[in-house]
Amino acid sequence: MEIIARGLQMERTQLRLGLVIALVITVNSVMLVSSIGNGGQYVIAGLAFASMFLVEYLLAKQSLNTSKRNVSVLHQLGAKSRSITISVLARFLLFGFIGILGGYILGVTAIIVLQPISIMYGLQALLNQGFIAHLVTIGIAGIGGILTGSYLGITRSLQTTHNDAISFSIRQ
Amino acid sequence: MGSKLVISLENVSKSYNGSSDNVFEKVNLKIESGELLVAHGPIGSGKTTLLNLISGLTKPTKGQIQINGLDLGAMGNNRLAEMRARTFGIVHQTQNLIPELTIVENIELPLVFLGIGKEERRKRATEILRKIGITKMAERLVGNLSVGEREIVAIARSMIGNPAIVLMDEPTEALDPIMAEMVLSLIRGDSLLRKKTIIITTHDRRIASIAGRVIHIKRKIP
Repeated sequence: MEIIARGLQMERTQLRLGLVIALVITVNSVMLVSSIGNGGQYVIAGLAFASMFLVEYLLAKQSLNTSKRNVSVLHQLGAKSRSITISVLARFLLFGFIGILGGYILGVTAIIVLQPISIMYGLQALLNQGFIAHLVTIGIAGIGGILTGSYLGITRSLQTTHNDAISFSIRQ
Repeated sequence: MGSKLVISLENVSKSYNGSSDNVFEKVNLKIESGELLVAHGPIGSGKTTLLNLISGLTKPTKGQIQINGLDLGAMGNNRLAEMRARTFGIVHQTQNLIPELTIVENIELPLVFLGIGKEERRKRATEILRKIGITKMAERLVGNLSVGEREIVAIARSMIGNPAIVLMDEPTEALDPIMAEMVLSLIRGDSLLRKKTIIITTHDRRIASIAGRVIHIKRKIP
């Protein structure tokens, strides 16, 4: 899969951007969830999912569109869309996962530092099982957003690229 | 033992973008295993389209194409991709190498789609590089190669999966005489292309001279 990803010219810029955005979304979600109660945590998890979904969809689609020529070559050599999807999805998941982990670290650190102004929770709240459960929910929502967003972005892009593979070949 | 029919085109017509002008009209062609067939014709006569039809990269507007008895029209994209990986070695006119990969990585790429492991892939690619005498260049990026060198790499890549059918689109076009001769010797030589069915499109008469059969394609659309 590594050779396919390299052959696809996987744009590191787009992957890094995905990582940074996942990190920022997670930091914001973690900080918000520490100060909101009454079921608001689920709204935050929903927003995290929606944001990740949209960002990863656009980034994955753009990433494949910039590698259109190489995708066409892979199709001509006998690559199934499934192989391309898996190799691209794996990269987006990896970078997104790192972003979420980084977001947890930064978010929790921010809560500890800002403890005096935290309204509902404080340092002790970090050990609270309810809070940890909300963090897990955000993580699952984030990964779910990355997975579904990038998958949809890849498959939508491959649908058009497959047709382009044919016209690319014909143009020669 | 008689030769087996491997490629069959029956009443194949092809037009593009819903045009009423067919590039081909009711073409019938049968190719047997081990044949070296050259499709000779002017630029724009549809030679590349013929190869794309045979490899399943494009579908005929009418008619039926069979490869080893299997109807390409009945296959979905995934099955066509699998068939291309297993049955065909294709050398495109512009080589279609991936410039971000090295020579050896480009050559071993078709094996990835056959599910062959990294070590075995590298072993086979190195063996092919040795046969064509460019072992020392293995780790060079193909983006830095000349057209002739890219052509040699593309031919090597088409051979790596030991395909039964090799399609070559204008393999000597844009090559200097020395590189063209090298490509010709690869086609003529029996170490790489032995017992394979080879279809070459060209307007180079030197290639036509080594063919077992030559078909002439006339330009239909002005």
